Amino acid sequence: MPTDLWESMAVSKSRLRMAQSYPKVPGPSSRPKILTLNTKYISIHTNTSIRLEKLGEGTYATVYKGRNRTLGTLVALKEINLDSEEGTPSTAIREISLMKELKHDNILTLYDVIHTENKLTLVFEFMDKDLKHYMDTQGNNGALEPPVIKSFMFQLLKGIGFCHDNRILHRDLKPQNLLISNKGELKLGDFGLARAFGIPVNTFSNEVVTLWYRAPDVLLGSRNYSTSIDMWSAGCILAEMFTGKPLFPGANNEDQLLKIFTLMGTPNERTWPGVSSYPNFQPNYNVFAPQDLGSIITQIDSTALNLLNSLLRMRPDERIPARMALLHPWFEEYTSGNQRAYSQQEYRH
Amino acid sequence: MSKVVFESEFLPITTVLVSLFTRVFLEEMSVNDTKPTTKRVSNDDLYRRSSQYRVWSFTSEELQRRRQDNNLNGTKVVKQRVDDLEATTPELQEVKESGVEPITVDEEAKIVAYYARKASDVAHFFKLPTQARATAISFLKKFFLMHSVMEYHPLNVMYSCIFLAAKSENSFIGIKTFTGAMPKLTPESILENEYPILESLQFTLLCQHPFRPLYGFYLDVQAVLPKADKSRLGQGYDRARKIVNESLFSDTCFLYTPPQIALAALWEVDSVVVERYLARKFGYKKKKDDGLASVKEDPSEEPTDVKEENTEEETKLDVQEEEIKAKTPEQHYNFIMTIVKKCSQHIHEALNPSLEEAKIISTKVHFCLEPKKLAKKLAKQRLTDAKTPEVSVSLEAESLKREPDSDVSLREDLKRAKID
Repeated sequence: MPTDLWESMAVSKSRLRMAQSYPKVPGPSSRPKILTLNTKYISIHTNTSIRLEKLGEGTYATVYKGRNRTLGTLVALKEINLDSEEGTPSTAIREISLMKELKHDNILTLYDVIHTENKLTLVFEFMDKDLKHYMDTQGNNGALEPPVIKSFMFQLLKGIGFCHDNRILHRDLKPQNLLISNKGELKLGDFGLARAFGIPVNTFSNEVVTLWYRAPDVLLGSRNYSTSIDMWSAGCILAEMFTGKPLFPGANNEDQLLKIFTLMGTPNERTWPGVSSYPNFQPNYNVFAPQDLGSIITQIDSTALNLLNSLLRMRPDERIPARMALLHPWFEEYTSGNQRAYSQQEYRH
Repeated sequence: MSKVVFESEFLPITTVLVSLFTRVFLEEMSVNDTKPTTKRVSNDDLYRRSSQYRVWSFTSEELQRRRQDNNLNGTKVVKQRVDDLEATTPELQEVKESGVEPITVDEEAKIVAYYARKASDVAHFFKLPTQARATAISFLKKFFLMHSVMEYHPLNVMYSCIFLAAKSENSFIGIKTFTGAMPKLTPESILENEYPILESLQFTLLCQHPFRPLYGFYLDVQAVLPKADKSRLGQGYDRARKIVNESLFSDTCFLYTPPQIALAALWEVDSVVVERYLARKFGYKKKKDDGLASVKEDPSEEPTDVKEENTEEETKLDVQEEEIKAKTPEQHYNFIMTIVKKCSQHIHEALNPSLEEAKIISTKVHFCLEPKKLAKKLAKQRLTDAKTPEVSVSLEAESLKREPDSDVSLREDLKRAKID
């Protein structure tokens, strides 16, 4: 492998993202540290590797950029420390378990699992950026162009639809977990919090989904949520792509609900039968009237607004399922046979 | 602007649960086509994409061949271990010369089945949900489709499988809680097998079990046969659940889909209802189908053809699926019934070896894994024969004697303590 290639990769701005937190990593630390993982993969310990959020069992993984030695393709190496007293962390076990089942164009592919000394390494396909980073760098103050938004949203819904068909909830959809390739492909990543569901669906932990993208029913303490929680997150992401700013940037559980109520209206038994029986429901919420999302998200066109309104329903049973959302008129150009419209080449960046 | 129609977030319950023959399709847009075509993705297709189908579905012959290969391999490993012994004592020399008796294919099956049942008891002890318990058993069975018991003692693997299944099914048990509750268990002994198990499973950890489809059928039967007696169906469901539980200890999960196993269990407890349900489902009018009232009749009056012999070669599921396509309702019905009957027979092939049998095999496994132990046993026998007990040696021999047996009897204690 020529050394100039290593160097070009080291200075590359492309960041490998699978983590929640998004710290700005300080400037280039000269040459990348090259670690030989095994004969098949080379790990390049660049300054882009970031430690993951704490997930109960402690720091769970570090992601490195790597290269497949035989194919020369880039890979993402998610290294999981096995030092833990409990062996392989259960988040890793669950992620492996689900990623092994989910083979889809819009879901990050797990190529391989490698065991070395004290580490378990998940080898994923390499993606250039996550959506958050994409918006920060390519957007206009974070806001994206409507054709790009449409392409990303369609791909997001296809990925979600596939998960839900396989009875898997992602539970942690957010821009940081949506990976973007330089061909304009969008893929769902980080299934560490995902889980399989069946019927009846109950006793899920309500401590999932990053606050900002968390559905009101989950915030109210629902423990038998289902596919609709991912649809709420998709709605929040759609709005954020138009404005460049998170729709409900709550500071804590209370504040998150308040932000949602301010915009969507405070629910009551009339607008949402059964809402008062949720565990965290307070009878003395400030009463807000629902706002017109179109007047807040001025960039949005009426068809997209209709989809947004179908996703951001307070009542979980009213939220549009992924399969239905894919048939929404906003996506007509993809679904009516205009093949070129979907061609990823058009949105090559 | 078109109106967006809302649909329940859940697919109809039959779609989700009954994968074998439900023909309700999910729409998947196919973007590469020039027309707004919809590719139909049935639950059958979804099942075919699952690792359970791709990696862990076999024919009976394939299973048998795999077990023979494992056994052959295990036997070689044991021979190597014996050859590597250093003949420092006469007994070691003797073991080296005569070798250690290898475990047979049948014994392997028995001891694995024994520990599969023990795994179930331990899972009960930790109050794991059914899904996690079934997954632990599945991990254990799959591990010994890749290895011989002459490579790994199933007892240790069993504990690791339960620990791993608890993790993968979201019912995490802390390792200290886990080992603390089981005598003579250390965290190291659990964790050392974790990676070999993950690797043997080829990292396919998601398991589908017949319990969920069974519940689906239970609900769907009520929907399709609304006049059927509810308490009869309820009792049938409870009994079928026990049969499904028994199926966990058989090979059925490698040979049939979870809905097929569930249906076989239901059919076994109430053939009349199941046959009527299937006939209705496929739109097949049986000659005797004179209305739903007969569902309430005594099952024994209905011809059930339980003993009907099926001489067809066993085929993998995809072949079965191809066959099913061009069939009339009657052929569909008969085809499913053939599978159900075969599956039902397979469930009854589940092994349930006795404690004594398991003890004997377990001891043999210990000797295969550590031929030195056989030499020690020989030494001890000589001592007792010569009636010249030496304190140091007899103590050692005593501890040896306790070791293999206590593994098995410990499980018996657990069984007694089991909370069902």
